[in-house]
Amino acid sequence: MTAPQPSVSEHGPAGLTQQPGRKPRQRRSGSLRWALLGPALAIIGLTVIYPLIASFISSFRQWRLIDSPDPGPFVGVANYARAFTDAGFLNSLAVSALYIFVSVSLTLVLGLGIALILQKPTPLNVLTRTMLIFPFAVAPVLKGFSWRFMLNPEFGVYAKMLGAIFPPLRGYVWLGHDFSALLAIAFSEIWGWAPLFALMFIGAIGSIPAESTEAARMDGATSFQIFRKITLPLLAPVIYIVALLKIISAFKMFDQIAIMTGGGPGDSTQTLYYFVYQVAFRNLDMGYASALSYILVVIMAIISTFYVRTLLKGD
Amino acid sequence: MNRADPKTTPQRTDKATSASSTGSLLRQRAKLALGLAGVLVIGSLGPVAQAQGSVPYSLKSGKPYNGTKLKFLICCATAGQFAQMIKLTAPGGEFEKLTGITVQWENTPYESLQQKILIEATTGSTYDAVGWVDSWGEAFKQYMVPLNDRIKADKINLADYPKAYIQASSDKDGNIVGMPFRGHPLVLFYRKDVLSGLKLPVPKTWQDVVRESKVIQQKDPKLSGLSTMYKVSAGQNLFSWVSLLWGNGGDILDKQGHAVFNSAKGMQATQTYIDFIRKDKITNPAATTFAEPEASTEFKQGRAAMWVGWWWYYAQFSDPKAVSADVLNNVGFAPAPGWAGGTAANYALVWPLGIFKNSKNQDAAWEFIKYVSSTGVQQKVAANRSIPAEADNTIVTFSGMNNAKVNAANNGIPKVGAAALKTARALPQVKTWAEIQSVLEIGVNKMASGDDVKATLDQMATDVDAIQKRGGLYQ
Repeated sequence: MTAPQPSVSEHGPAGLTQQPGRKPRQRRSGSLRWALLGPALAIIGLTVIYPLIASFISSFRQWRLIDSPDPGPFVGVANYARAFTDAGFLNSLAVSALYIFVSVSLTLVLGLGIALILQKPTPLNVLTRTMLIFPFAVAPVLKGFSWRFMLNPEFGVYAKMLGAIFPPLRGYVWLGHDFSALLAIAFSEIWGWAPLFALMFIGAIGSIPAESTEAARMDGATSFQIFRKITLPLLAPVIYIVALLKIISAFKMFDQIAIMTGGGPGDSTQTLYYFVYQVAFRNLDMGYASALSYILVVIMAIISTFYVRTLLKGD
Repeated sequence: MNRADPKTTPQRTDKATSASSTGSLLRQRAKLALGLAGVLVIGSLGPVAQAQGSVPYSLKSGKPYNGTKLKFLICCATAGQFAQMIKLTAPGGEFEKLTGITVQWENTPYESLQQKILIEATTGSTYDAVGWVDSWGEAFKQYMVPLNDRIKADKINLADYPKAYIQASSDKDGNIVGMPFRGHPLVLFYRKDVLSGLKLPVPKTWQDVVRESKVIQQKDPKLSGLSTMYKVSAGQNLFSWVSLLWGNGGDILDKQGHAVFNSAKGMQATQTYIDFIRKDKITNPAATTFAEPEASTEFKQGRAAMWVGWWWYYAQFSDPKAVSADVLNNVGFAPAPGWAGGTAANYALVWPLGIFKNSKNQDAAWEFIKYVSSTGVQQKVAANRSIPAEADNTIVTFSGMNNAKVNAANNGIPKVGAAALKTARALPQVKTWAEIQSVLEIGVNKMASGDDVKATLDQMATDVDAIQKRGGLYQ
């Protein structure tokens, strides 16, 4: 019942010219392929390719919805130039960078910590590992509402707990100060991501050859030395991959900001995504928002390229 | 007319019978038929004329638009007033019985309503009527049907509507492009038991509010004197600020559109507003993270003695399910405070209701607008509290606000609103308002969170001027 394997000549142009009797079948097969792919390509074209091209063109035009529903005149690179003198945009870049640094580094540290604690396959650890996936399954908007509620200085459970442990923080308005608001948003995200990373790290730790750690232990290495000299270097490729993944995710942060702080206090939690939203859908400045989006696309493309190349290299 | 007189008709018939000429008989019969037809026509006009007088709300009689289906672009169908009006204008409702017109309310999410209106006004033809928040209007007023002639023809008394509402519903040339449909003055809500317990009068100025708040907090440190909101959230942290600013004689923009809120008076008013949280500490320290829902909840749950907000909140404050036991039946109200020694320039917000120029049913849409903005319908809705979730004291005409039945149903808050609206103002009608609002609300939040007031106000003014220049308002 093995399916007959087509010969090389049947695939190439030479094969086709040599066997003219097969031409119609090939054509039919080609037509069928396009017929099957057609709807998907049409949908992608309409929903992805066309908006990408249209917004790219818009990014070179003056287009404010309050002036006209149609794009205005071409203004060259004025929208792009404006971005780099716009205090709001520069602030959002800085906020995004700080947010990415805080959220990625804390997620990695906590994820790795959880993985090290739960790496041994005891029944309790296995149960805990299963439960770790739950926070990741919570919708970002719901995370935002929950964390805003839990950080309320009057009745929020986290705010009360922190106030009880650190009395100077009693009644502290977590979402009312620049850095703590950013930290709170970061934690609402870390809460979901760190357990997921822990699961990835547990898998990676399990693939480290036991001989390496055993040999080190026999040579008198401490647990910390084993972790620093063996486990961590062998985990480095995985850490690199998940860090890139988290950077992309952190860059897209929007939901919790909208729910928890609205970009405040002031504009201290206004990330790039949130700023673009503000420009497009509040200020209705579509030309400028398109330019900002393409700046965002370039940044994301650079990070994604690193990510994909690393994945494809397999190390 | 004499030929149709029933008294003379038999005599003429008798004459015809006595004559032997057939032609003469035919002529007489034809005259008789014409006479009877005349009687019927004239007779039928009587009831029509009567009906014209009896159709309420200045609606046209005879259902000339019978069968027309209007599409109305709006949001927020859960607002009590809208919920009731949806029923009144739905198939089988009062409006259809009177006009034969039915209305489909397109309940669009608030967040996307402004964009949808802009697109629809310029390129669409889906909707006939639209309601909008006044500060959005400048960008699309040119696409709305001027209503002046219709208002004149239907003898609608514009003096019965607050000036702020009419100004906010008009374009730069003075054309009225929307009829006030839903509007709000800012009202001071206060705890009657708290003020009377301390023998404090109802505050008339913001300075009174500060002074009395301190007394209240001294007596009960768990209670904030005033609940406020400084969070960046759709411009809500500007409500009290503009009240202070205008009260002190300051303004947001001058007539040319330049930012002037950083003037000496603006600076003084802003400093007072920011001092509520930073210096006087008469409000919850978390108010920098409060928008309208959180600030009103502070009052509802008995954690604040006063709150300044829209008058429609009264329905919630008097709902046993929505407020704590100590707050229920203890909520008083007064016009929002003014500035000591200054003017009481209350802030008013209105939703005008207009007709798209590209609507094919403009006349029918005008009937709908007349109906829902009329005192009669607005009174009916405001006085109906049979379903608590749909109770809403909102009403747009002075005669409605002063109506005894409406006031009896709403414990007198409509009258207080009328007093507040006499001196009320609306936000500047500039098409760049969305961007300006964003600058202002972020600035207010920054100042409340600790930034220097003078430096921040100056920066805000610079940013607003840049927006105005980009918007082409001046070079």
